[in-house]
Amino acid sequence: MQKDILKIADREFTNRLFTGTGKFPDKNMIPKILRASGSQMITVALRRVDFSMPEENVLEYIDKNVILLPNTSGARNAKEAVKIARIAKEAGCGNFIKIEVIHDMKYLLPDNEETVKATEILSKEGFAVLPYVSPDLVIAKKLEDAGAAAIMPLGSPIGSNQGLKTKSMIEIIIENISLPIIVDAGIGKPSQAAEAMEMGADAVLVNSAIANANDPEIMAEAFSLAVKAGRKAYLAKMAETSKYAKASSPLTGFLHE
Amino acid sequence: MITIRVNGKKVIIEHNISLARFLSKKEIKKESVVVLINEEIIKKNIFDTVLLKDNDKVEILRFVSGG
Repeated sequence: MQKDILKIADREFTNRLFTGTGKFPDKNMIPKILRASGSQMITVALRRVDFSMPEENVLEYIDKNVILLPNTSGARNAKEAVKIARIAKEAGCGNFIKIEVIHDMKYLLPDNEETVKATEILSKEGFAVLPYVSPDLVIAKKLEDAGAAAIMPLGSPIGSNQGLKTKSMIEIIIENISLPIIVDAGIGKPSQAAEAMEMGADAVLVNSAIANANDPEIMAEAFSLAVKAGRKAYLAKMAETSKYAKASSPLTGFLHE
Repeated sequence: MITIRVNGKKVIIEHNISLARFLSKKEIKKESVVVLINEEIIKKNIFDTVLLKDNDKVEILRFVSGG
């Protein structure tokens, strides 16, 4: 079988599980979950230094071969997202950027319209833009036209671990958009990651479900296996479902005949 | 003495202090931060020569954990 490679912008990935650095009780866990998951891309955020509580730079915990995906969290509109993206690039984080524009603090749902605006600006500046959006085909088409490198529809609200509540909407995007589709947010269990991959998602991004597990390292491995299983099932093309039984043993030649 | 704004807060500092000196006084390693002065990103190789001026708006940022 040909090697199964996911191409996003000019980078190639052999592992379809992306991870995040958020919520780990101890940053020393980050290199361990990177190893256990085999993840080749990980998210980071940019914040003001708090002088009363100096925090170490998270980049020190990330292997140099792993692609950094800075997010624009904290941005409330396209303008702020663009600013954060430019700073991240200038800081040497490469040209990948996850656009995240949020002003709804209850569900943390993204502002799709502002996300399209930011995508348009940053794609023109040479960024590989990965917009995080509520799954909507019309928005996905606009993002494709705006030059996005991939689209990241949410499965359910960030950190909620509710799984693929938006499954049908994501399926429509997968069917109609040729860009890589990465299901981001809400995936709470490995089985849900496998479900996303089985339906044809190109990758998934999992953070909270790994970071908040009792044993994040083992959970990272579990997710990695699930993503691989789901991907293989998709490539193998699953058998059809039917309402009634279809015998798997011959229905002739019984001993009582 | 001059007054600058650092990460949104007023700070009074001595005259003629370089950005590098300001950071080391705050015990911040320059390798671990990104600095903007008046919205402009300052390259690390000039931290020693950039002098902070009255009313400068300084943003000191760093990469933190996030999903």
